[in-house]
Amino acid sequence: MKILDVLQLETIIPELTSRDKKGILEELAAPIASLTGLHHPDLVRVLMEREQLGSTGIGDGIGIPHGKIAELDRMVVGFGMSRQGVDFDSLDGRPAHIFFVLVTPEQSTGQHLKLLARLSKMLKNDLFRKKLMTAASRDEIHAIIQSEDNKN
Amino acid sequence: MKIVIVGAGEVGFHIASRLSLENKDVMVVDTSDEALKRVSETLDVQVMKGSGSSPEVLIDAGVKKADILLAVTDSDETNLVACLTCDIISPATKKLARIRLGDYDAYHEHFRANAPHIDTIINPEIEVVKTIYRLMRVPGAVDVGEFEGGRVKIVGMRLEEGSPLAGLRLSELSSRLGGVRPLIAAIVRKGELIVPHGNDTLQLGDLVYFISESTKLNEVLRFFNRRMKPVNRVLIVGGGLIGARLADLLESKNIHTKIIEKNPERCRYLAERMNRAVVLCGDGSDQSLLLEENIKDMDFVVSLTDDEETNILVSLLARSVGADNTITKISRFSYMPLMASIGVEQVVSPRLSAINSILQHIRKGKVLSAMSVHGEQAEVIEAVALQTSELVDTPIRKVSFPRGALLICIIRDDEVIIPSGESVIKPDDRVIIFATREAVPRIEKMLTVKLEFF
Repeated sequence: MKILDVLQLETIIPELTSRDKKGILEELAAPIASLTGLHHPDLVRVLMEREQLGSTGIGDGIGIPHGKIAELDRMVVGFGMSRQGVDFDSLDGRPAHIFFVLVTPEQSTGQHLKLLARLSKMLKNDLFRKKLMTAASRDEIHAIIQSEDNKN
Repeated sequence: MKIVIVGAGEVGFHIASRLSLENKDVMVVDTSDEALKRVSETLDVQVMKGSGSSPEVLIDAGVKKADILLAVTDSDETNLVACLTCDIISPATKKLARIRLGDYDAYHEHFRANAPHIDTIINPEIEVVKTIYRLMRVPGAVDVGEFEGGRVKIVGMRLEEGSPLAGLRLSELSSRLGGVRPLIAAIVRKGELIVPHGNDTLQLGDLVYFISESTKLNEVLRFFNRRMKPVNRVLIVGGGLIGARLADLLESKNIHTKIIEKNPERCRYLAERMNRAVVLCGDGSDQSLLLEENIKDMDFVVSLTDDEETNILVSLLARSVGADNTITKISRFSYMPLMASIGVEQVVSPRLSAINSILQHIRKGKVLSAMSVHGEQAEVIEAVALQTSELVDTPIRKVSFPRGALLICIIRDDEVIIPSGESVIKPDDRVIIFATREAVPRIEKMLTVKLEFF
């Protein structure tokens, strides 16, 4: 499965404005909530509860918040960028800039894990991260992800 | 983690103090300059003056960024409105509120499912009554905590003259005592908490914290020269909120109960409310009244007045005339370390109970319950061992537990397992861990999951 199979243009946020973890999760959740019809506070709560079990800030400026939602019928991915960076309780203690958010139905069988693995692999690439950081618009971000997505 | 605390009273103050030690981002809101001054002068937290039920104040206090709102003023109304306001301006923030009035008891679930969507209602009175009843059921216990819905208990008990445990090394316990024996989690010796090793020796006067399955407790108590016995007669001094709730509970267990209350009006109310409990109007610190009421024949004397000194005095009097068991309500934390030295050790504190119910929400990982031990020197944490966490799928001896921490037991389905170095924790097992305050952050880390956990 490719990232762009589940990442819609409208769930890409080129400029996150919040300066704290909860605010970032709220911003990331907003387009997904309107796309899927999920109750926004519920979605934010699922993401926050997952963070409480262990931060998804994996270091290198990356956060991949995620969670399972019973009412969902398909996997949905969102993207957001914080240029100034935000404290995300990351493993390396450094601020996070690049966020992929991933929500999946309760019954999902392994697909979400494959996608998560694919994402973390792609994000290991310095050049990919740098390109994302300099992208100015939603379309530009989409194109950068697309070209990386098509590589393998 | 950011936490906004509304109310800088005893509960708010002590939670703030506890959290500030753990590097949490804490903001305390209160209307009283005096209360805030105490907080800002002694603790490394932020304070803000204003009413915690005002949207403006809550926004300024940063509730939109907060993971948790803790509404713990003395007023139920303020706490409810603070949660309601928070529910509107920051619905994803977890809300914990202290609600004391019994009239709300039947509506707790409603407050959770509907607005103001309070995640946890803390009622210190209910918690204290539960604690008192737990203490009553384990004779001689100074401290009793329950896990797994009561199946596993942690008990703190003094090692007194004549106990076969005195002088034994921990490593000798199994060969000397055989199968059923106390599993020792910690020792408090001369006020200092020790997480013991095999070579440590148990000494007379030690306060020993041990774990036991509830069904085996009676056998374990033998080693402390105690045995379970039914409670038939209880005297309660002080008929306030806690006293009345305790009397209700004891009545329902068919325990013969007497309440001594000073205020005639309150006495009339209690007399009407109680079915069988006897209500006496009088001063609980009056020795002749206590003697008249055959205090020495009581299984328990519980002093619950609003005056700490009276409570201590009643317990001392009761002991001096031969009552075996006293339970004393103490609110001021600074008194706690002194209690052991005057022999009044069975102490309950509404504030400590409230803190315990809040702790589990603040811990990382899937913590089911947490209990402070010996003031706040240590904690017992009951948690789910989640897939991908450090704890699971490796033999215990390979898991690097920090100094001062001890894995006490593993619960798998219905089985309580006492772990050895070779035991392996499986995902979704429950674990009970004892940890000194210094070891808690590392334990929290062990309970957290890796990225791939959904």
